[in-house]
Amino acid sequence: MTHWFNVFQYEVRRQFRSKSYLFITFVVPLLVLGAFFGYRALTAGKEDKPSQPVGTVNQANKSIGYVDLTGLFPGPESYPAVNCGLKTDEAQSGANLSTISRIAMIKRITSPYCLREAITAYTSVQAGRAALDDSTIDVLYVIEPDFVETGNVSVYVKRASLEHMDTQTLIQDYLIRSTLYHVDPTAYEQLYLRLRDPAVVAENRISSTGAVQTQNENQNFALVYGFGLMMMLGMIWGGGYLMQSVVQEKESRIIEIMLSSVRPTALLAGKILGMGLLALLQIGMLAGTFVFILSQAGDVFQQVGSVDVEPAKLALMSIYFVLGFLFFGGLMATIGALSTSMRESQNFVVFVTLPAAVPFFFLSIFAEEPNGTLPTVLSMIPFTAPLSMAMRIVVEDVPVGQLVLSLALLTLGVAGTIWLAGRMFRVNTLLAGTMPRLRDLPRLIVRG
Amino acid sequence: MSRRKIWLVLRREYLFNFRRPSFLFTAFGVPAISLAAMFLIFQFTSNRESNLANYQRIGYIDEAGVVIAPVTDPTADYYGYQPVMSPDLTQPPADDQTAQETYYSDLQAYATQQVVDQQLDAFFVIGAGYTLTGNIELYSERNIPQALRTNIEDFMRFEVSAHAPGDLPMPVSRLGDENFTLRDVSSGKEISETALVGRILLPFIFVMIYFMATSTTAQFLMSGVVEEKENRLMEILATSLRPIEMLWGKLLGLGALALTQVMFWGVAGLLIAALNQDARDFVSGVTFKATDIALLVTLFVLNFMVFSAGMLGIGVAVTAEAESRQFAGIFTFLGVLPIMFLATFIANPNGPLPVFFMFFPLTAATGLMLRFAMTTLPTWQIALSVAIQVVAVIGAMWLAAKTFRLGMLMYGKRLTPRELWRAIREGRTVLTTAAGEAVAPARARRKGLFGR
Repeated sequence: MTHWFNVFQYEVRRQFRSKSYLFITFVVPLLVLGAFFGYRALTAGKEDKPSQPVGTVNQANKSIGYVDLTGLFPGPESYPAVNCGLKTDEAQSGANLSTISRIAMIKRITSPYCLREAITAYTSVQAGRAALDDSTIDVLYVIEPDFVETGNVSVYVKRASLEHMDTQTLIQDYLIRSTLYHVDPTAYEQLYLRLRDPAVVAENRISSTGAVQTQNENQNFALVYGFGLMMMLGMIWGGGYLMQSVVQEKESRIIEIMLSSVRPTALLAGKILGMGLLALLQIGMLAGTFVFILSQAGDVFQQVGSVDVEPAKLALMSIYFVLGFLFFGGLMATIGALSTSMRESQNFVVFVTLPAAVPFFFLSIFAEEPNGTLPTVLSMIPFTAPLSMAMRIVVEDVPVGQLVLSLALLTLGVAGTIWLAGRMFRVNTLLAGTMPRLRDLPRLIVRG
Repeated sequence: MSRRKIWLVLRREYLFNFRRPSFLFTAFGVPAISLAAMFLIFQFTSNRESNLANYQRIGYIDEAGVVIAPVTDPTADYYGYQPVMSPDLTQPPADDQTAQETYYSDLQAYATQQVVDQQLDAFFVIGAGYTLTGNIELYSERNIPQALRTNIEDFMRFEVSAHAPGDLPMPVSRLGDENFTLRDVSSGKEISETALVGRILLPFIFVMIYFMATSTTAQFLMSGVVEEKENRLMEILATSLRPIEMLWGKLLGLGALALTQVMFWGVAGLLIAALNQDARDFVSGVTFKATDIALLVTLFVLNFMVFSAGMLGIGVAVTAEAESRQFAGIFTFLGVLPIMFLATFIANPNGPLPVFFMFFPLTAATGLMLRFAMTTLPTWQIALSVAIQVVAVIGAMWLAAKTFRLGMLMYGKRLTPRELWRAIREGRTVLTTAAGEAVAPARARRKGLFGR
């Protein structure tokens, strides 16, 4: 194994001069960081404004019309006028408001009268439809005569779209306000608030030991998506560089000169190690950026919250990345050794990258149930193991037994593909001007 | 320009590419596989969200004292929800705050153990602050389907309604649980849920097909040029064809190929709609006027021309396939942006980003189509967007023709923007030598080299 270090050095140096590699490795993280801090600076200014809960209760960005065929819901104008904003003393005391004043305030500002600007009552369906036609209103609700028994409400829209969806809660709100109008303030508070929104459900996961962990679906999704994507791209890029360098040298016939002084195995070893190091650096930069952003994300993306990924998990993921790179790198090098031109090799890459991307199709399942059957099975198969395990590890603790088994299987797979690449990386294959046929492959592998 | 020669190139490009296995695979195989995969994944995940077979035994702990009415209707989805009760724990008097807290935390620990022991599938805690916040904590060992959340919401609505005074004009449990039926204002006809989903998704599918057909054929156009340059076929062609004839022949041939692709998917869609009732519902929300179809075709042609002209220029300006892919990648990325930002189109079709996409040449066709589907566009906006695209097509074609003339015989050396710029300024007089250097006429050379 002489000269492998020279090959290694050469590959690293050459790749470091390539603009596309430098761009992805150094410029992309910088751009992402810039965008993140820019966005944070932009939103930070907005948060300083005091929020106005009262304003939002009665606010609407669309005008709604309705026709009541039951006679139960008179128009907003028919209710006595009240002050729909906060009184000065209420605004000053804020959260310290006494229970009695709070109850009275809620009752007052949620009077049906306060929705008079957003909601208009029409006396007949014809009048309502005419108003919708000439765009006086954006959407028309018709409360059907059998509403009390069936709950039937017709929604008239100009064109089928989702635009009417955000008006639905407002008309529901109006019906609640109108029905509860005569209820005394004490009972009104609970009825109004909880009929509007009966349950804000938060999920908690109980583990087999009885430990409880709060589930944050958005956070899990972001983690699984981010780490899955990086793992996949890192492996495919790394393998792609490897294949590209082999094919390019074959195309330009440099390989003929090289083979006069370097043994094929040394060439392969140097290439794999060089590209592996470069791919590791690349994914390290990307992952570092991602982890950093996640740790700061709470300020900007409230739904996601700030996340800290344990260093042990990161270490485990890098092991999987290295093994995954070796596995796919071996396959890509095989393709490179067999094909004679870049175009030809591209056609075969799909057969390697497509299986690798399978776990990504089931992203939501990985985020919701990382230790379920499907993720467990996928994390055992060498083709899908690196990606699946990375996606599982970030959100939940994976049983040690499964980790050991999956790593053992993956190592076996790596040994297999590297051996395969070694068999293919031989003088007569590399020098051949044509691509070997499918039926020649077994002979090449066995005898060489 | 000889029409016969253009026709020859056109026919050759069409037939040659159509017979390529890799073209057939990208044009028909990849979409078919991804559609099948999407369908399977959708079925799989939707079943997970609606399947309640593993959630039959649900318990609750009511710290807020909201639950007062027993559920007597056996058809209710929440029938059978039971309060968690431990035989070892007794509820302390209501005025003893600390004892109450201990009691509830013990009860919760008991319920957790019940879940671990498979005595309960899930339980939820109605917190003491429920009245003001509505907060409910749900505990389970497994992923919680959406259907369970909905049932718990219905259960809470039922219990809250039980607190309403008896003299109200109507039962309040109806409120918040209305049956909304969407109707079209002009016909009064019902728009089914599938039709609504179709109304939202169809333009997206359309745009996807457009984009796929355009970008795959444009890439084949590009790699065809690169290939002919690489194997020196271009030299032979140049002896019997004028560059502009070759350019038009290639463009029209691959344009016809892209159109074939779109038509194939259109016919496939019609067939599916004819055979399947659900599919018919899916498309029923969409009404096509003749003008709409005319607009769609125009947009497709314009979109194809912009992309192809760009790709052609790239193909002829670079020297190797690998190099061309990098540039083409940037092009395709810009084109796919509206699809990536689909969510912004749905949330607010009149927002700044969708409007920008509609007027940016590379994204104008897809941006216009998405906005057209989601909102009512003023005619002047459509006209402006189409006008921008026409100008872009003319500009891109002119530039492509220039690049093509200059770069078609350039080997081993990439066409630099500076050379291109010089060629554009000098017009048709630029010569190309076999060594690949653009030789400007004497007058220009003087200015170019010494006049600075």
